[in-house]
Amino acid sequence: MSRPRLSALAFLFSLSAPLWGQSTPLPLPPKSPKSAAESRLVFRYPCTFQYTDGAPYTPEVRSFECDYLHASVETEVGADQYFNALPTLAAQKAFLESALPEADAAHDKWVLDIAAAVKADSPARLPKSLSSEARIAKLAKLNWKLWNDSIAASKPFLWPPAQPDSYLRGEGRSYPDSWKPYFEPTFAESRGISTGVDTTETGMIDSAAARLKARLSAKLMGLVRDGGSGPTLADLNRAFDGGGAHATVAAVGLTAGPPPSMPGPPGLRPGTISDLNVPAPPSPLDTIPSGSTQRADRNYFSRGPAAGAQRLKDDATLAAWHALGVTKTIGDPYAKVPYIVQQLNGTCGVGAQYEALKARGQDVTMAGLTKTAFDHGWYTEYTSGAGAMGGMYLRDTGALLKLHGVASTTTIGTATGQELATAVRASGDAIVAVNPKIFWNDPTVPDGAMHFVYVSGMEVDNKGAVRGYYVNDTGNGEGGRFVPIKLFDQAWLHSFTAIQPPAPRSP
Amino acid sequence: MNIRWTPGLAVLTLAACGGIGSGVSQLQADPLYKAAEAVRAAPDCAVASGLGRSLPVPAHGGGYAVLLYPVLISPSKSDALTPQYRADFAVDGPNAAARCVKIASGAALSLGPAVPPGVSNRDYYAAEASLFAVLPKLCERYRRGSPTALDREEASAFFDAFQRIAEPGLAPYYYRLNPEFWEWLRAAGGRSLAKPATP
Repeated sequence: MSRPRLSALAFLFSLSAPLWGQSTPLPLPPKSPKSAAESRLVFRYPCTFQYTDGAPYTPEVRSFECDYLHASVETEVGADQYFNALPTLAAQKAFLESALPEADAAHDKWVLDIAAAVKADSPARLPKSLSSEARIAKLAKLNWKLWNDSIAASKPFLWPPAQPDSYLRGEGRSYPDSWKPYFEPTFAESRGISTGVDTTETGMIDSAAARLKARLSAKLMGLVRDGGSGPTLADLNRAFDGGGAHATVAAVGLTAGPPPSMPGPPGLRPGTISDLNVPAPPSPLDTIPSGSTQRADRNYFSRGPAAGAQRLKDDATLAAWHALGVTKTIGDPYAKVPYIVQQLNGTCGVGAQYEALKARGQDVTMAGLTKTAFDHGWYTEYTSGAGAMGGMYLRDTGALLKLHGVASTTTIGTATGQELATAVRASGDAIVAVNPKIFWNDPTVPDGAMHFVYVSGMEVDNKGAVRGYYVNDTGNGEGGRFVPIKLFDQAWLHSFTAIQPPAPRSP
Repeated sequence: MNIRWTPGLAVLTLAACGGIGSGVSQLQADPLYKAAEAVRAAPDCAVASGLGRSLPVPAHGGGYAVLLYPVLISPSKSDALTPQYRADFAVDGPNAAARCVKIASGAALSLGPAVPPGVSNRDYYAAEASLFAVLPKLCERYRRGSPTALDREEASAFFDAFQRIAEPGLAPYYYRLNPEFWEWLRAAGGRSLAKPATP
């Protein structure tokens, strides 16, 4: 399954299907014998008109006029061959004298329509007082509307690109360069909108990180040293676990007793909390990344601003757990965040194996693995061309791993949480099938859908109980997403692939 | 012993315990739901990750049937494509393994949204729970023979839930899973899927 974050060109392709077939089709010219001596015009792809003796046709046919011809002539052979098959020079000239003024009028209209779209869909119209989440949502809608309006305005000039028979087998999407001039104004405006979204998202991440740091370094550390009055141990139990299975602090490995001596430097590393023994926490404040590359790869807001805000909260909670020393991370998930890819429709099974292979140091590409899976019959394609989709057979999850020398075992439909936890503890990762409606909290997805994700690590408490899994999700490009165990248990389909642990790194 | 705890930090720790939000499916332990999900594991069914499972309906002669169809997920919407397989299964008993039959060839076409527009997750899960709750009883009544006035309420409850969440474009395919059941439903409750024009 895939839920690609909207890029301008992905948008073009997601909407391109309805464009074709809506111009008035021209009849094929009747076949007739041509005199070899008669001078005729030759239309050479993409936009050259010459007489047969090589002299150019004047006035010069402009590139947008050629685009108009390519888009409006609907025959099996294409506009150039259609034109060249017209029976006489007079017929050819009559065709141009009719079609070119139409193209010019369409272009004049395009100029006005594009300017109107850019003006109407300008972010300057948004109220200043919006919350960050509301601003991101409205900017995303504006961007969508801008591209919708631009495609509608440019339709007379957009002609279908050449497509491979099997899109997913190909190396990537292709579209004619001829499309670009019609979207230049839109690209510029869209970049401005995207910058607004990025700025707002960065602000949210910075605010969350600053709030977390303030709490942990000032409040919690002050709390550690003070040992003064405040909530009781019972309050701490309730607050920590929210009434879950580990409802007491003792159940997660903290015990009452005299505080040990304070190890390490001051700041982020507490010694004890009042009368509790707390193991020294291993990791610094790294759950909310400060580096721009990790932020981009984590893709917090791929599923929208509300989901991004929830992820920031979950990451802040992780940092609190780490600072308290009550959980630890297995599998080094943040090191695997750079392996995240945005998969095509239905290549989630390929994407998960790609990430597992990259985590084992293998030099592979998504395009190469997709083609290999297709060629071996492990992957089936339901539709082809732009917007194509398919799926990896459940039984063949692991086939690409095996081909690259990595052993694995797939359990379908009957796996237990304990089996999954054991596998991830051993290798630091796994490939898991999930219900995307629950996993993405997405009302448009039916309950019976299925999606593969790459589990890149897990979080366990001091009793060894799993508190959540980390996931790289090629469906929406989210890297290092921490999924609390309650949600994970609801969403996974009890099917997973256990993977041979990576070879130890040489010192 | 007293520990000073900031409300903010309590909120931080609580936040991770359940980000599910507005409603979650409660059907994971339901026998019929589990059996429908288990279709994916049947050796006879070449299930791929792009395939979604439809709602179950009673199959002719016993058990239930589902459609397996590609779900094309795009930003802000998901489309149901031409169903590729029909899977017949039983909830328990000696023939519990699903049997799959390929029902399509050629490129799959979009048949419209995979979820009727405007249905929230909460409403979806509620309707789904209602459907799975009533379906086994309805199936028993269907297998007894001609419907009676006593069947009307359950037939109506089933069709209300079905219409709320079923993939609108798959109606003809649902009908063809078991035309006898849909006609029985019409006789029982007055409402059912329209008979498709082409068999």
